[in-house]
Amino acid sequence: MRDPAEERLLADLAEGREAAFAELYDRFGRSMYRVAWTMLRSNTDAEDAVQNVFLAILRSRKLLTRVENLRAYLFSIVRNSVLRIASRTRAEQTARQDIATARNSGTKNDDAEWNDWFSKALAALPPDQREVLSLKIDGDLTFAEVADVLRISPNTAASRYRYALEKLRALMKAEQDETRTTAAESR
Amino acid sequence: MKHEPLPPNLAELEGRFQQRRLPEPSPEFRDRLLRSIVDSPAPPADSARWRRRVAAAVLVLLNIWLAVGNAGKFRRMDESISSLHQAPNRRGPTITIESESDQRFESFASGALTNLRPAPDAGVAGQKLFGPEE
Repeated sequence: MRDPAEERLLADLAEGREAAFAELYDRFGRSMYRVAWTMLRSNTDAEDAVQNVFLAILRSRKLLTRVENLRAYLFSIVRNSVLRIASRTRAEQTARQDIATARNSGTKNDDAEWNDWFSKALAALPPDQREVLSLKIDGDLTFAEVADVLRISPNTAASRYRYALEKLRALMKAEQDETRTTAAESR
Repeated sequence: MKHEPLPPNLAELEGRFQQRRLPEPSPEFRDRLLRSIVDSPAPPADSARWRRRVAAAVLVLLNIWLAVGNAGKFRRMDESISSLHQAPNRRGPTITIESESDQRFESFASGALTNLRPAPDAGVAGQKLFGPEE
């Protein structure tokens, strides 16, 4: 069952009303951008991905009335758009190289260091786990919606999410151990 | 659907991950995006799509109609040929084709024969080159 506001938005989008696209951006633009950025790690590419999503919606707007879950539908298009851009830019490779330098950055005392560490540590995750983590947290999707986007079961989405966090935790622990060893050696 | 809660260390990490700062889209991005939506060429309207469908249907029908017409003509031709074979003694009227171009050719040919003149004598050189037997 769709909520009435979403129903109205979908109907307006299907008619191609500009105000509806503005509303869509105001409601989902930021989270779409965050997911795209997490996957692509580039402002320009993330903006391209979001723009492609809007253009794709405009082109196939007649189908929108059949959409059951707008959020899941949008993030499916975000994902496709991101994959297309990622295959073009190979941003993943660059990100993987960054993690090596991130490991030796020591303890994280402030938000900036955490941000930096997260953005680089994410690159060390397998792409399917990174996707789930970003869709769940940056896209604010439920496991059922993540499952819809990735065409997996909600249980698989939940377990991938957990593995992703465990992997991040293990990376952090390895880094802390390394820092402690280096400190002990220097004493 | 209920999922198992995360252990405290993972929940803490999740919290930190949620709070991480990510870059925001550039301030003019929203306007740029909406402008691209407005400027984007509209997909063909329903009426245009219908016109194209009707045109395609007319072409298909025309094609079928011509094919059926041709099939009828061939069948009639076949029947007339087989009827000729069945009655070999019956002779049809003799058809004389005498077109305008045939007549012109006839008159040209007869004129050419009357105006024919013998070739000039080749003289001594001719007698030397060509023997009396030629």
